Amino acid sequence: MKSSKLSLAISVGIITVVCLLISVVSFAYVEQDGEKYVIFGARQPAPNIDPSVHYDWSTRMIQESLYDALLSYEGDPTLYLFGETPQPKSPLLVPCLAESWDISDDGMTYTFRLVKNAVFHNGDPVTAEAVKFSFVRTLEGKQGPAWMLLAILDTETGIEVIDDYTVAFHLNYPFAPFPHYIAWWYIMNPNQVNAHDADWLQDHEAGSGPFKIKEWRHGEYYWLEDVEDYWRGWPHENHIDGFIFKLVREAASQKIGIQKGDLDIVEGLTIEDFGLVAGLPGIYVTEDIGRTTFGIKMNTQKGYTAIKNVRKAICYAFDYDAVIDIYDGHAVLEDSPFPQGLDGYVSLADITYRQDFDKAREYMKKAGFPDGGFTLDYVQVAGHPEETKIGLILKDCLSKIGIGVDIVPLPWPEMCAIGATAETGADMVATYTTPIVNDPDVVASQYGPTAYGMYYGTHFYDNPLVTLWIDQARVLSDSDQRAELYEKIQRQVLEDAPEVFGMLYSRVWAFRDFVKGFTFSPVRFTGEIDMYWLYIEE
Amino acid sequence: MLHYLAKRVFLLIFTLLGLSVVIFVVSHIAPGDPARLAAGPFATAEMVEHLKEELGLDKPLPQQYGIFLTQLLKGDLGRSIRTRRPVREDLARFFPATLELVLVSLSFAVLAGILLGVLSAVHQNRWIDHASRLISISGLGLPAFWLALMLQLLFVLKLDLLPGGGRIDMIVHAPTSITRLFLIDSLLTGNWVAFKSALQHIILPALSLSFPALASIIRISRADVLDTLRQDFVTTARAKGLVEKLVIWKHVLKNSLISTVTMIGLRFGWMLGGTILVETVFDWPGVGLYAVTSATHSDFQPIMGAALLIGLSFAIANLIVDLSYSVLDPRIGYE
Repeated sequence: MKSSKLSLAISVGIITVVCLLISVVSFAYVEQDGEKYVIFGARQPAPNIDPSVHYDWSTRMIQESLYDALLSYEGDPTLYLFGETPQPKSPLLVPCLAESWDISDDGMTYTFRLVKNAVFHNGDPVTAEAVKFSFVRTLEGKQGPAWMLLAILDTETGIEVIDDYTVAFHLNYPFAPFPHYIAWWYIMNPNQVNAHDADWLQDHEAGSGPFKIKEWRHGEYYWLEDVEDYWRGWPHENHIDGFIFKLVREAASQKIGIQKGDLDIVEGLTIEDFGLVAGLPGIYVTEDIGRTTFGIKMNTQKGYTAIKNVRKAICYAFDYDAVIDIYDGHAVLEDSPFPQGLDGYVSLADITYRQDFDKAREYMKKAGFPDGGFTLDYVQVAGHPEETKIGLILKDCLSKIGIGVDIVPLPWPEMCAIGATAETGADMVATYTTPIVNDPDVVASQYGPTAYGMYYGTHFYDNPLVTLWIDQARVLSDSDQRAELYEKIQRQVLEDAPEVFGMLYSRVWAFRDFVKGFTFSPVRFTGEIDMYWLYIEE
Repeated sequence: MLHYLAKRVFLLIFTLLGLSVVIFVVSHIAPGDPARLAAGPFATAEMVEHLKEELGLDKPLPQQYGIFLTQLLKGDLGRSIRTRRPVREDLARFFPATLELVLVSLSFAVLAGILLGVLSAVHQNRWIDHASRLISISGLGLPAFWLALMLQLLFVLKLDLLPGGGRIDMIVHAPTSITRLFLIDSLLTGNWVAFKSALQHIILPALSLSFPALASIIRISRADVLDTLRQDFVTTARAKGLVEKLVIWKHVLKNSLISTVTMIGLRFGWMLGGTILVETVFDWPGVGLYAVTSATHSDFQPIMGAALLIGLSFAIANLIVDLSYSVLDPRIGYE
């Protein structure tokens, strides 16, 4: 009797567990009330989406979906699949909330005329007052994207409302990159912002963009739904009804997710895993040349790397092809301090550094160290596998010319701390840099004193002539004159060798095959995608 | 008993105070400028200084600590420098997720661990003993991170039996918040859809997290039961004709639990502070991820908040363990 009761209990238990387990269903996309929501698997959260306070790639991807700016960077829809040879794409700056604009002859006043049909999600019209409010709020807060225009615009006199749909920006000095930067300044509804406390915009929105918030779960996912009557219209009749930005931090989990169909787009796989899933049915992987450059910045003001000939020797000793192998062939070598495709870029392939031990030894001799005999630090982000591999390549290469290399992995905060001044700075620092606009000034200014203390300025490079050219080019409005100066800058910086100019790695995403419409823009960070263009084709 | 409780609570206050001082000092002397990190890689020096002033980071350290303590007495744990969000709100969101994971993991580890430990001792050197010891060694040797990935690969990808991550299905609304523990809240509100979804989501992370605790509990309970089985009172009980099951599960077990209960208390604390890897693999929105992300950004307010909360939980767990001794052994009393 007792044993039959026990058997019955065990049987019921097993059946219950099995029923529980087999009822898990995998979705291709999330479908609710006939609406289809694509799931984007992301490694990084967006903890604060206030446009005046915070931006990084994940935050900006959400902000881009919820808000509009005066101008917008439009991506290129040409599709390159993984393994094909992608061509560099140039981002197009197009009108958005502003339908047109004029620049004064002295280059100091930009007048924008707004579209008249743009509305915020609560129905309020997007007016010049809203534009002024948004810019002043960000400038006064001195956070987030404020760095872009803090020195350019005065909050009291810099922004003028001419009429309901016309706004003028009076710059403190001519600044040719100005239109490029305002593509990242989102316009907020002052009525909504003022009706709530300062924290409200952390996880709410006051925008006019193609999507609005459906559900916000910090640390888990952000569910955005489309604005059916979005003022700009939709580029495709089968556009997505929304998307879920789902936090999947582990690359292995992202891989499982895209394979199983739990995720529709992923951005965080290793290059090997992208190659693996590219061959699987139901998945395609895109590949584009990015503008994120990798370089080994050398401290030009301290120690042995302050000697130009030592730096040139290092540049000639380095094995550049091995860096491409680290990315499994999915990277291109830089042939200029500017990334390929950036406005103002010129190819310096005929004079750029490639491995040549004879030249390396020649420069070491010129530097007075024919046999080397010293050791340099190579600082990298702790736990970054590519930076570690590159460090090992560097160590091996420099050993052949008598230079020792200590690989020093550090947490990011500590790297920033020691990179604050030339005195505390390391000899060599592994650095990835992404230019966020298509204007050459954003890269050129990395080679001037304004870069000191920034993560991309750890070479502390100081050539007064280059600095002069940078300042001159920034205020010119003639594109030919600017191009001439930027060519000079590139040639001189290459000659001075403040860094080992490495490579641009490919930007890769994996999609389920029913997700179409992807456009790539090289000015977007890391995993950032413009979701406005996506549609479902089954 | 009340006097003992009052003494423990009094000591707890000083313990937490000391913990806050240590963490405050360590987080401020560690390299890294939290204002610079929060302002972003492109922020100008002016922006960084502005942020420092706004966040009070330009004040002397003792003054900063004083402000923190004053706010703490009002229940305010400050704001994250990185996200500008109130730490109290974030902890209220993330801590229950970790607590639920730890409680489920520990419950499984305790039930299975004691069961296997007793069976292993009673059937020493038989197959059940060998199997239990194999589980025990594996649990102590296998990294939780690796185990989590393997379970995910097997049950999520290969067998498609369980979900890969998160706390609940996205299309299933979280149950009405009472305790913020999804399993309990869904039971209390009769939301069976949410209960099923929450249970499916917690199985794999709980299994991954429970393994080291399971291993320890098996070993400790096995050793204690073996020791107790040799006691004279067990021989007496058998001689009196008591059923063997009653001898083992009532008399032997109760007298073998002191060390096991101590281990459970310790494991609770270790689990609370060690969920980061499992939370990462299974995208469990818990306090482990929150604290580690804050630490990598030198964001000391969340670090202190999380440390104090975990410290408090650990202290309460240990108090419960200490009080349980008098239940298990009436000879132990607290005055």
